[in-house]
Amino acid sequence: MSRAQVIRPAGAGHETLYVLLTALLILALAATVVTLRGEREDEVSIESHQIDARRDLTAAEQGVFTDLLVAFDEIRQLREESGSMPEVASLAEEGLPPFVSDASSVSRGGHQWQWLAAGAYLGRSQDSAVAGSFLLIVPAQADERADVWLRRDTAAVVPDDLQPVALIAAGWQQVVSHYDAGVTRQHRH
Amino acid sequence: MTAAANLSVAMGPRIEFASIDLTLGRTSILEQVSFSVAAGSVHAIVGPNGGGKSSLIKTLLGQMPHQGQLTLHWPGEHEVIGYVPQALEFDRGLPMTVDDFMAAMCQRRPAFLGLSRRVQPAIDAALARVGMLDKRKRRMGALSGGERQRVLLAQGLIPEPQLLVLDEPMSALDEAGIQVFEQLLHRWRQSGITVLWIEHDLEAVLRLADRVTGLSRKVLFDAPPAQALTPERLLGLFSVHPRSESLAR
Repeated sequence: MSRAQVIRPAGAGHETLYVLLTALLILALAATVVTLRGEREDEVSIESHQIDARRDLTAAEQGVFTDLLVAFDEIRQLREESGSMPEVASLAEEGLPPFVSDASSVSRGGHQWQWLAAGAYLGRSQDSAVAGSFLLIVPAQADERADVWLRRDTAAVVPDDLQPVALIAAGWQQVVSHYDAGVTRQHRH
Repeated sequence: MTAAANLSVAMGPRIEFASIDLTLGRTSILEQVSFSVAAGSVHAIVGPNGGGKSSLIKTLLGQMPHQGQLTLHWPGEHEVIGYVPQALEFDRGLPMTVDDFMAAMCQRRPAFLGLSRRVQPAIDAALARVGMLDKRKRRMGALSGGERQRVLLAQGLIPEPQLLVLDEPMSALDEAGIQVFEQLLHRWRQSGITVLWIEHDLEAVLRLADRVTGLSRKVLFDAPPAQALTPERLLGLFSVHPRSESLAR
C-alpha cells in the first residue's frame, strides 16, 4: 500500500476560506434563530380619532389628564359611599384637582367644569391655546376605566350624545395611553 | 514478525521536490529547487547561512506558502514524520524537567499529570538511546546545549518515524553526543528510515550521508558526497555569488 502525499502550501488562502465559511455558518444560524424565535416589536398604532396621552398633549393638557385619572378614583369612591355622582361644587370643595379653582388650574386653561346628566364631567377650556376642553365619561360599571376625550377648538359645544360615534362626529378625540417600546426608546414619529 | 516484514513497515518515503519556489515578502528564498530524496536514504543538505535550508524543511513540513510540487511517496501505511529542530527557545528558568518535556511532546495527557503508561516505555527507550536516562529529572534549563539537543533527538524518535527531518542536529552536540547521533543514524539507515539532514559539518556529511544537495537559493549540486564535496564546488557553494552555471556539470 503506497500513497503519494502532496504537501500543500501553507497559506492564508484556504484558512481564510474556512474562517469565512464558519462566519457565514454562524450568521446563517443566528439569522435562523432570530427569524424563528424573534418577537416582533409591537408598535401600537392609534386610531385617527384618538390622541396619544404621552406624545400629543400639551403640558397643561397632560397635567389635567393626569389629575382627571386621579380624581376619577375619588369620584368612584364617593359614588360608592353616597350612591350618587358627586357634584362639581363638592369636588371643588374637597380641593380635588382639576375641579378646584386655583393658580395652577388657571395656568392650565381655567377649565369650567360641569356635570352632564348623560354621565360625564365636561371641562370647558377658557384658553384653547393652552389646553383643549376635556370630557370625562364616567362608565356605568364601577370597575371600568375612565374614558377621557379632548377637544381643541374653541366652540366646545356641550355634547348631546356620549356615544363614541357621535363624539367623533362632533370633533372630540379620545385620549389614550399605551405601553410599548417607545416608552423606553424615545423616538418621534 | 519477520525481519522482512519489519523492514517493509519501517521503510521511509521517497521525497520529490519539483520546481519549488518560495518567496516571502519580496525576498526570494528558494528558486526552482528540484531534487529527490531516495526512500530509505540519508540525504544531507549543505549550504551557507540564509541559503534556504531551514525554509526548505519548513516547506516540507507544510508550513510555507511555496509554489511547485512537493510530494512524499509513502510505501507503507505508517506515515510518521519526526522533526528535530535546530534549537529550542524557552526561558531557562522554566520549571520543566526532561520528563515533562517528553510528556508534553509525546502524549495527549497534560504533562503535569505525569507520564502516560502507554508512552512511558517508548520514552524510556528513546532517552536511553540518547543516553539521557539518568538526567530525566533535571530541568531543561539546567541542561547543557548538547544535552538539550539529545533530548530533542529523543523526542523525534517517538512515535517511531518513517521520515526524520533533522535541522543541524550536530551543531550543539558534544563529542559523546555526536557518537550517539552517529549510532542513531546507523540504526535509521538499517531500518530503512528516510533521513533528511541539514548539516554544516562537511566531514560528517562525507562520512555519513548517502547523497548530498548543495543549496543556496538554488540547487547547486546534488550527488553522492564523494563526488559532490570537491573543493571547487564547495568554494562555489559558500561564495557570496554562487556560480551555479559553472558548477552544474
